Amino acid sequence: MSGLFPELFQHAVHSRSIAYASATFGVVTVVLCLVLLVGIDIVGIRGRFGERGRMIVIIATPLAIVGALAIAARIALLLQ
Amino acid sequence: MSAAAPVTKPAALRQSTSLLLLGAGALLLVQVGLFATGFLLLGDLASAALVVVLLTAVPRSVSAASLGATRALAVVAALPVIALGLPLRDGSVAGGDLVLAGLTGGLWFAAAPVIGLNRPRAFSPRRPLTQLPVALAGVGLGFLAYLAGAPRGWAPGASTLQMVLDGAALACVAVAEELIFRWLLQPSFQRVARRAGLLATIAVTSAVYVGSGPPSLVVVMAIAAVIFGFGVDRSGSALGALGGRIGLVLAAGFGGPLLIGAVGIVVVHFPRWRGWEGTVALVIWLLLATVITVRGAKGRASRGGAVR
Repeated sequence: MSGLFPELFQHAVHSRSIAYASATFGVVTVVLCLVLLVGIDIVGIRGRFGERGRMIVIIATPLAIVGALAIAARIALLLQ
Repeated sequence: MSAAAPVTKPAALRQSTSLLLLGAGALLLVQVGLFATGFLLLGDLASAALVVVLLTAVPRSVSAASLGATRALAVVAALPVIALGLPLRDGSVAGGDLVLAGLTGGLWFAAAPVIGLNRPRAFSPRRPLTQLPVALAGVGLGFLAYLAGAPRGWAPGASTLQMVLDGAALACVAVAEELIFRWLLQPSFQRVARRAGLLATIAVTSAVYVGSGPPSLVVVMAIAAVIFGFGVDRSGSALGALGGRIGLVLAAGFGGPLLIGAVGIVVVHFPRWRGWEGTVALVIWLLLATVITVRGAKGRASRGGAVR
């Protein structure tokens, strides 16, 4: 029983294939990570990195890790 | 173009509370309107869009407290995107829980100082007479959650070692979740609007469980959110809430099935909470939050109070 990964999410993840999950939820994660990376770049170009830039980096980091895991799972699936 | 007029304190207060209400309302809409009704991919997309809006579209002219609150909301909105994006299908449940707890804990550890929160104070044993009852209430609510239909904490046919590992992973997730809600979202909301902030945190915490279990379980989790929220508010530390949360998940997932289940008490399973009930709950929350916020803002404006 968890609010971070509730039963609803567990059911969705476990009832679908890795290919489906990586092509839907995984893509959303990767796209959000890319959008935030572009945001970091824009904030950096404006020379006002500050707390907003730091916050974007902080949220983008776990998204990048999850995105990398989703891509790795997809590659493993292709190699099988 | 003329320079913007200086924002007066009551106007800034209204702006801050409106931002908080809008952000929390959008998050609740995603949780209750999309995730709880089964539109997971749409909810995932909406959460991602909310993260981008909360991080980039809030003007710099708003108060530092409002900026902190919107950033804390962005962290909460990012959690479902992280959880759903993890390729967990073939891995162990405990392993997945630990990865998620690690990512969420790391997020809290890095975000808390940026939002202006003192990390060590979250674990401070100050006011033990306030914190101890909160922790004990968590254990009691755990048994109540079991009776209300909380799932077992271990997989069928698991060995004792596997059960211990599942319990440890559940406790880690509980700590990470409680830190995000009680020592990131709640203090940052309460800086903007004290009572409405507490109410908003309780609503967001409870909304996470809508759709994941029967209404009785959602009610138990909402009661837990109220007790933990007030405990943190009164004591100025999250230690009691953390203990209570660990007690709650372990009592619901392990204590209940092993103690109450062994005696043979029948657990009543209510139908899942979906559809219009969630929308009604959301509307009630929005009305309550608006009334409390407007009354508080009027009171502070009449006293000439500063924005916290």
